[in-house]
Amino acid sequence: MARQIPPLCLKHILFHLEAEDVARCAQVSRQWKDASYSDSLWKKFCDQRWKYWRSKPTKADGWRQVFLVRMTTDRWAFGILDELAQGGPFYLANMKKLKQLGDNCKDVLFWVMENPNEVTLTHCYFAKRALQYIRRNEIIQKWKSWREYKLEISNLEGFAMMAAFFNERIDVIDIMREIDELALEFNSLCQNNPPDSQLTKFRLLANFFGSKYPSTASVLDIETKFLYLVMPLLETKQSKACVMTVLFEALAEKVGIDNVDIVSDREKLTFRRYHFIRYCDENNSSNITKMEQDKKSDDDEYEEETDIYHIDFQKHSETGVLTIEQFDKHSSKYYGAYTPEYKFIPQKKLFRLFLQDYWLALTAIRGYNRDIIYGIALQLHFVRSPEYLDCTLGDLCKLMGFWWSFVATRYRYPEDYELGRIALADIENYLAAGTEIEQEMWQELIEDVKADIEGLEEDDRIDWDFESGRSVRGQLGKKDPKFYIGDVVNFKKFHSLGVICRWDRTYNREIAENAIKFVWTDIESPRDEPFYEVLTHRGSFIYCGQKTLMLEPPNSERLLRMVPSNVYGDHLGDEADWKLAKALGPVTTELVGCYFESWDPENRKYIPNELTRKWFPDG
Amino acid sequence: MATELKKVKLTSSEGTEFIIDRKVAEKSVLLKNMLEDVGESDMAIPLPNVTGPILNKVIDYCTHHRDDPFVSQEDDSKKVSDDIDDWDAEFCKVDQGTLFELILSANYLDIKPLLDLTCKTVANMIKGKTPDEIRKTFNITNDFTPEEEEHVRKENEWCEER
Repeated sequence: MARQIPPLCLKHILFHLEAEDVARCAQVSRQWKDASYSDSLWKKFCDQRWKYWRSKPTKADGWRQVFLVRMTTDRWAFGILDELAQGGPFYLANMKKLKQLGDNCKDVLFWVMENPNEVTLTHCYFAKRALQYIRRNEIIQKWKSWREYKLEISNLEGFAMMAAFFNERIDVIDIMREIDELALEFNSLCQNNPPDSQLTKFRLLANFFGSKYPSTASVLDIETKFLYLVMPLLETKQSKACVMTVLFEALAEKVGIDNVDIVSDREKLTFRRYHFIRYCDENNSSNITKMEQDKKSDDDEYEEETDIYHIDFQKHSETGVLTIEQFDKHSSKYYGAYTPEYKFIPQKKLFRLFLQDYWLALTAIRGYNRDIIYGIALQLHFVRSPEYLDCTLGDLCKLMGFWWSFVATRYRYPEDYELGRIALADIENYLAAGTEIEQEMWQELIEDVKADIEGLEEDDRIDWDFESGRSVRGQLGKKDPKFYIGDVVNFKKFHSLGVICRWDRTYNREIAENAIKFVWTDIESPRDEPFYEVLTHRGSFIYCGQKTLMLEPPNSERLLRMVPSNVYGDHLGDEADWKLAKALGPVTTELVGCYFESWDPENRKYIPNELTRKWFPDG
Repeated sequence: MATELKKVKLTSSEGTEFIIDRKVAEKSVLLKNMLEDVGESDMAIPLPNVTGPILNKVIDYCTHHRDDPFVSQEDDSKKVSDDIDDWDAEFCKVDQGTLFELILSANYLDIKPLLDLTCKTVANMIKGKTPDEIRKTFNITNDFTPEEEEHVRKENEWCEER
């Protein structure tokens, strides 16, 4: 017959259980309870669960208490994150729940502030999300004072400070150790199967690395291990791809492969972003060129000048993006060398892309209307020195047509047209050198432009006198807001979609200085014009002047957009995700639930919720 | 090596003698240290804490695993209780009394892999069970007073959420 478990055994047995099972064991008998409350047991659980987190058993309560506190608050935070993740329809239906969620966020944040020694990775992640989500001054004020710094310039800085704080709590050594382990494992693989060249070795490494972190499906795994850890280092533009970048670079270095460079593609501002890693092996360049050519056999226009091998990291980084800084560093270095499909673009073909992107960059600096600058730039760099780019006036007409289609479909300000018109007039001077056909093309373009402007006048009550080049404002007064609550707008600077969730007749300092909330605050627009708070489809808030926005045209495809996503930014695409996506409408962030009841596809507007209606009863 | 061929004599608590290879005996850290201390000797090593049938089982285990590499102390935390191979699973198909005796002897003889294996086997019996089921499985009487029981249940109710 079975006999009682000897106490000595019990201690050993409990070590092989999970914390939850041990908690059940504690309820069995007195003897079991004593064994289950052993301090060393709970220290083990703490170390297991918060592996990279420096444990600090500050209080006399012992490790069990530490574990319990962490676990409950982690659950607490995760619960809210979960709700946020599937939040959309949920908020939309339930105001009370929404408020409660806000209160919970507040509670957790306060708890984090009061117990800095107990903060875990989940809390970090949570705090970041929550600060974005709850917009209550009391909390932000408290958070500010707790952090003992002033949030002045932008959200970015605030989070950088926060990141610095959280960094102190992260054991970087542990990450390095993980990388070391991977490197060791890889090197022993190489010993069994020695690669014949650095390139092969690199490919092996990429495969090895890929198999370690196979897809976004294992996101939780990666996140708990790395993302949280590296996130603070990478600031708010974090992503799995960033983590991959950091890890891969470190790994390649450890296993002794030089010349590895991680580049993201040109489409950085689109929703899906891809990365690839390229590896340049000088000794084996002939080899690689051959391989590249094989790949591109369908396109014989490419030149044989590449000695670059690249790996598609697409599957690892569906939602990934490098930080803007990193991207800029790379894009200026490898500018335009690849299409988004990673095809090499020969020098001659680059010019059009170059123009586009160069002035995109310019606008980022000047914070001004991209396409106007594009027009001026065409005039300066292209028209005034046509031989530089070796193209005909016919090409020019095509380009100008392209440019005009931008202006005509996107902008509604007379000044913009005015600038565009000047650009066109300048180019006209060069027409004398053109052939008859080119002259004809030019005339056609001018006609198109004229027709477009007339069309726009009807749409937008803007008077425009094409002959004199003067513009006259229509019925709208300067201080009347052009957009209203729930309107879906295009934020021209980044071409991103957003929804108006607040407007002010003039620049509102109090609002604008809420640096925790806004990722971007417009400091250039005239302050005596209406300003808007816009929630963009990326889930960030911007505060910007009237000029920087335009109504998304009703026929725009972007209004039909639905993106299923969860709190991690992954695309899951199952039924629930699509349901949520449908409720969220084109501004694909669950945060719309904070302001709006639902998306109205008929009128292409968001319907404000009770709270929003209170502040803006007339929209 | 010559030492590998050496035999070692063990005596169980009832006085039964077992003669095994030194290499097998060295799976036990206790015996290994003892043998190193004693040096060359034909003396039987008395094991008063281990009975004959149990010692027989232990020797079975050690003989089967004689060529396993030595597992370091550090990476044992990574192991989950599911990864028990077929031979080991068969080995553990014994009644509870024997299993507990095995745990005690493994602990006494300091044979880490055997200790892990037997503890895991018991842990698997506990996993996912309610306190009541655990009591039934191991024939334990509930010696809490009702107040105590309520208290300890409250303290641990977090394990039932989600």
